[in-house]
Amino acid sequence: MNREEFDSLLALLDADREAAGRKYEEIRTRLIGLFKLWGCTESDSQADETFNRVARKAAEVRERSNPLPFIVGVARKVFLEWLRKQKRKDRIPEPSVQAEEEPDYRLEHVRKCLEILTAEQRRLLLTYHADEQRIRSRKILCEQLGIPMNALRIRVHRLRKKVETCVEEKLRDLSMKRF
Amino acid sequence: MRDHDELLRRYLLGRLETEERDLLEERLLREADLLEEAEAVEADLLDDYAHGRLAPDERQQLAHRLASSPRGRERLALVQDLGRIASEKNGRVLPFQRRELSRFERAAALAAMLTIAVLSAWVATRTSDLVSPPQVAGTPTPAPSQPVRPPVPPVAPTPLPPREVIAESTPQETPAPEPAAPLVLQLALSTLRGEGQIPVRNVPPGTERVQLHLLLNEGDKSYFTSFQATVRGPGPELHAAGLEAREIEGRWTLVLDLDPKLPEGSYEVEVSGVTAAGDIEPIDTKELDITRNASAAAATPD
Repeated sequence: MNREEFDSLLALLDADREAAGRKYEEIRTRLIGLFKLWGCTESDSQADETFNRVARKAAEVRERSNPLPFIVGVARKVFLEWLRKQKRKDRIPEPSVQAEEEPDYRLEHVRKCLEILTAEQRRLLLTYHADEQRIRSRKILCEQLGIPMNALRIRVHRLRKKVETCVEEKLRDLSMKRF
Repeated sequence: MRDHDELLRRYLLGRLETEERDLLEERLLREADLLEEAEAVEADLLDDYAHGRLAPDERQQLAHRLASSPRGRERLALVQDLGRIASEKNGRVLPFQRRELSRFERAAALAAMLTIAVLSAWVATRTSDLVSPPQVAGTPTPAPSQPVRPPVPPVAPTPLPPREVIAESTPQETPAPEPAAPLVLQLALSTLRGEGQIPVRNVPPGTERVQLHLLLNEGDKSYFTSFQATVRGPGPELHAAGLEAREIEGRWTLVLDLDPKLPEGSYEVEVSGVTAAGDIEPIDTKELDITRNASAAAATPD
């Protein structure tokens, strides 16, 4: 994206350049989240690619009062292209040590990453994911914490996300070492 | 709020009409909280999927979505791992667990117990000649000082074997009179990790028995009543129906005897489950490359 395209993109988001900059950051963060929700493992770069394409078309889109539907449409297209590339790549057989060893490492990493949580947080997360007496356990959690089920779900989600990020980092470190 | 959850759930299962979906995705870009909620609802769905709690149609829809969602598969793996770790702790981590006592509280409790013990001994010596022997029958049992845990369900022994692995190992449950231990090829199903990386395994010439061990996840084991598997490759097609999962080394496993003379080449293993209603649903299709190299080690991972 060149300077001119970037300026067009900002102008599309808001007439005020400073406000447009803030909106750009907000939308980019959520785009990354949306790509992740779709299952993309390269969400940052795909969000940037979306903005690149939107910027190129910014002049045509400017007439619209709400650019979000257009951005979502472009993002979806970018995701489908990424997915197609991914599938092609996946068809190439490559005997890999990682495929064999990752699961063991993974479970161990999850165990280690649980340690970044406090004991209470850990118990909350594990109780939530325990299969046995699931409904009863979750109700008890809600009672103990004095929060509704929805809030419990979000609280657990934030903890799980911490663990997820930690595991991702550990797996990335592992593959870097192998490389 | 329930409607909200329901909308997100339908979205994540791919059940929304295009227009409805586009509107929701626009909101996901606008509302940070909604995105977080969607992720949380997704995690619940994955948890239900992993434990076989989804209705068959939902299960299929989610499986379809996961097929094009590498990150979703990673999240599924995380949820499965958390469930596994939780089950190691008997699945009652918080509500049934005693609070850890501080050093001071432990010391105070110990002092109290000692005091009670000394007092009891003193009372016993003072009254032993005044009372008849204790009446055990009919005497109410004193309440335990610690909460009693409900019976513990059988827990998978640890360490668990790798899940997305083709690796040879000797199963623990090998019957004694067998002439030769089989060469075991393990293949994990539905973990959806490492997709696209086709494992290569060597079966040295002269191997007398070869078994394919298909590792099921807990959800599939509880959801289906039996299983069927088809192995396609350079040799004749092998189809096995009415397979039952056996617990081997803590994992629910489908065992297939393969022809020890199976030719070198690329194989496809297709596994389906049969529901209680008799419906057959695909579980997974995995690829596997077999080599027949005399010099390469059979059981040594790369």
